[in-house]
Amino acid sequence: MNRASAALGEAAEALVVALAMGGDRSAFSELVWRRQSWLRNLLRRLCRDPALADDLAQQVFLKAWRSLPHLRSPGAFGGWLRRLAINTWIAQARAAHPTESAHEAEELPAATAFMPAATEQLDLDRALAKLTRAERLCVVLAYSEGMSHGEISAATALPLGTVKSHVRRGAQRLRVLLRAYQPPEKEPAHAG
Amino acid sequence: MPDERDARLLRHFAESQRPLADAQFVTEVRERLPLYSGLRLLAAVLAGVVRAVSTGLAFGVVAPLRMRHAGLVALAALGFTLWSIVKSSL
Repeated sequence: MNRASAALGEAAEALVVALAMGGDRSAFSELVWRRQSWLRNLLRRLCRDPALADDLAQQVFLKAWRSLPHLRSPGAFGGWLRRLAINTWIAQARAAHPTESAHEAEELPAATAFMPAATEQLDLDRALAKLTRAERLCVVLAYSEGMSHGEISAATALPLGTVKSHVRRGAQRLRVLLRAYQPPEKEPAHAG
Repeated sequence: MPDERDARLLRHFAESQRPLADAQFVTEVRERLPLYSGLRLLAAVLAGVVRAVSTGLAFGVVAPLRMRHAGLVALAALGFTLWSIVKSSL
């Protein structure tokens, strides 16, 4: 690692963004390095396919590179990148399944049908994949990104009431799925 | 009133966050950048040249018609044009 890239690695993000806005490829690579884990995790939760999620993450970074000169201020980079990711994912989902309603979900079987073998695990990503696209988007943005319902509504162009109902219903379905796939918690051993 | 969130689900989300920092991913993104970089650089240079020429024309042609010290203004316009060209090419 040379001195310039070491300096970039230690620089505040706003400064690195400002350099990247001026066309500095090394600065932009540093931003990709810093933000890739967060962005790929976000897109993996939204997509059902990790390979597709990584491909979308690359597309998002490329769009960001092209559009960086239009960024209002370096401090807004994180939220702006997230919005790019959401829009990219929505566009991809619409293109891949134009006839599929965003409200279609895999049928949720009765809770008893989920009783798993002892070794079976259903991780969060697979549970999320059982939600509708809209529910998944709203739940991920609320729980993973910590966005308020109002912020989700602004970012996704969904009405506030719809966002609230998607978050509530999605969270309810997730609770059922995760509870059913987890071994029951052991009773604490009685002392003495 | 803040939006209500299920504490257990919040914990699930926090615990399932995986570190995905990967040098290969950065390399792949970087390899796809030059096309955009080249186009943007070309566009910026062309825009800079057009801006500099039009600014120079505006100063060099229009201003002397309105002011007494035409020679001085023309000199200033020439200087400004050169400065604009140098600045836009940096």
